[in-house]
Amino acid sequence: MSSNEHRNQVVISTTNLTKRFRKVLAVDGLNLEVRRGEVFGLVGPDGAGKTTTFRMLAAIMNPTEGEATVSGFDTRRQAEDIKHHIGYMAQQFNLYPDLSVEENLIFFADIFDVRGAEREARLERLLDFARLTEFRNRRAGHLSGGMKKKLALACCLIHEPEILYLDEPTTGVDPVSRREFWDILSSLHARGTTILVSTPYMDEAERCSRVGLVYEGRIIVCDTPDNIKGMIEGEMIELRPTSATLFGVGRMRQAREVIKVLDGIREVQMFGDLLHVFVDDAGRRAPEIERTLQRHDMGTEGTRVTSPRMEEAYISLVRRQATQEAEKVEES
Amino acid sequence: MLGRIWALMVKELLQLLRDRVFAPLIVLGPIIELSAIAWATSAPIMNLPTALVDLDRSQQSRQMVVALANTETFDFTHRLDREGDVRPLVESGQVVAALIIPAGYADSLMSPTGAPAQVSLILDGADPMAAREALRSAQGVIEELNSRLLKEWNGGRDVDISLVEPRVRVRFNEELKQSVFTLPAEAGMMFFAVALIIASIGIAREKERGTLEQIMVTPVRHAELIIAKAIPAVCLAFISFILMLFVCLHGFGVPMRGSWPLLLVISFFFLFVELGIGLTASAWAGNQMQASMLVFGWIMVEFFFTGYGVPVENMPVLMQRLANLFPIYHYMFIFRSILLKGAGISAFWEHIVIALGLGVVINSLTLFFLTRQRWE
Repeated sequence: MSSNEHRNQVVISTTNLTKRFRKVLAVDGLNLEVRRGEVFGLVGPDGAGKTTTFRMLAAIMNPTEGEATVSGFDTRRQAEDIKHHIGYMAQQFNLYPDLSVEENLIFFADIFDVRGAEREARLERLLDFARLTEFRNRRAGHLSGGMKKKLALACCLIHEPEILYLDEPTTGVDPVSRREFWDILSSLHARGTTILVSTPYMDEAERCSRVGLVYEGRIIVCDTPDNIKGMIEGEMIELRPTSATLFGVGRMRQAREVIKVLDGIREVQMFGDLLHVFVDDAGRRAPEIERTLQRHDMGTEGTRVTSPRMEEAYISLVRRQATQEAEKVEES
Repeated sequence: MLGRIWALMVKELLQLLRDRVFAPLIVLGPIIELSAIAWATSAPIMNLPTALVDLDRSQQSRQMVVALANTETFDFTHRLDREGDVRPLVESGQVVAALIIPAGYADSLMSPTGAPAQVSLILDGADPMAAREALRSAQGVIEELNSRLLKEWNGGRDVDISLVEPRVRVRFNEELKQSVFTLPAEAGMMFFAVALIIASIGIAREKERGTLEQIMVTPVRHAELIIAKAIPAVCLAFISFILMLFVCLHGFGVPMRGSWPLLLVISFFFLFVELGIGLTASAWAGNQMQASMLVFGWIMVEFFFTGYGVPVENMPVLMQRLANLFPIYHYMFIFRSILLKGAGISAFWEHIVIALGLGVVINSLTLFFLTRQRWE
């Protein structure tokens, strides 16, 4: 096998993966392919079914329908084989708070039968890697949020899995620790570990090799971050509407309503006190927008033309999906 | 497999030692409780506060009062002049007994042809133990008095008026000491309770903290987890049990007439039966709180069948049948047989067979509940 073929090998694949809890459809016919060495991001709102997907792929939950293979093993029938190939870091802190950093690592090493000199070597390497060496004797329950996440990651890595599942690994972590965490992931990626990560943060989604946008249990778009951003046609104008008489949300709504109906406007998104306006031609539309707002006794501040980021792309795509579904319901 | 069980056990032990409250409490708590109960029940019932209404005020009536006071069962704390004053004292609990000697007591004693002399003894039946003891003591005194009077009238010669004289011999607990019966019940009960409590916490805590999810994505199998949880529970419960036995035998004179190895092996076997219940509760419950509640509910019911309150043999037939479903009923039978009667396995093998069946059913249930545990 050439190294190129090796890299293109599919290590996670799901067909029509479905999970139903009584009346709730958590995951709805998910089709997914993750290739070796990828950092694949699952991006979606809370309750989109990301955690359920992880649990099914970790072989600790059976799907209601459909199937999934991980490293060539079926999650339903070969669950025990999968466990040696994956590391799973759950969303909440899942380690023993009354054991020290080192004891937690040793426990997971022993469970995976990593022993003797090999265990000591990996222990030192991971402590150093997670920058936890000086906290090795501290109880895990007494670590800061960011350190807990790093310890959890280290515990997942002790058996050197080829695939890593990370369920919202940086939620509730400060920005500095978040960046540090992603630096660690980058070095794992460089070593060839396949990473499946879910995140609510769009800046993190942009660091993935490919992203799947999850909405109500389905993947609505699956592509590279650049391609996803490219799905938003045209350009984006960012501006801050001002008004002497209208304040807060009232002002934003008013501004959006008058801009929406202009020619060449594709979509208007509110972003705090900013408006993101997607247009066919920014050079032509920006002055028109400003003039329209003036006619309605509103001014503008900080108008600039930018390219859409993941965040705008995500909102736009989710909105499009929701509209399509509403239409479908009306038709039927 | 052994490596993983060992790793899980080491972790379990570390956690147990880290908890400064749980381990000492679970080992020492039962011993303190047992000692307190033993101490409270081993003392004889003495000095019951008693009211006296002596309306006769004769030499004979005083003789009666002195004889009763000499038993040390009664302590005449109140001396009253009217019979009507007795009731309020009994009702308010200031006295648990009252002796009323009517006027003319001495006269009727002196005329043996007439009706027998009468005295009234009023006892507070709200405390049956005290009342029974008081009655026994008073009957003894009166019998003694009767025979002495008969002897006096007969010119100093012994008179035997009893036609049937029962010769009662009590076996296995010659002094009929309450503690010899209650202490083993209490010890057996707490032995089971300790095992249940430790086992019930085991899996529920992992579930509550989310660590069970982490364990499930490792190669650890369900059976390995159960074994690793069971062994520390067995060890702690057994240590606690041996200490309790020591307290019973050396502190409070409960005899050990049977075989030590037999007792220990059988106790060990029953421990596994009971552990299954704790682990099932633990696997079934969503968190530690629920698991403890379930286990406490079970202990309450089992307590009923230890014979501590009412002996199982005195229960209605249906209840006696039901008792067979509870491991503690079988264990208590065996435990008392070995301890007090020195019995061997032939005396109670049926109980072992039934318990074995219960153990198989209970532990299969544990495995079933635990393997079903997935995030559904």
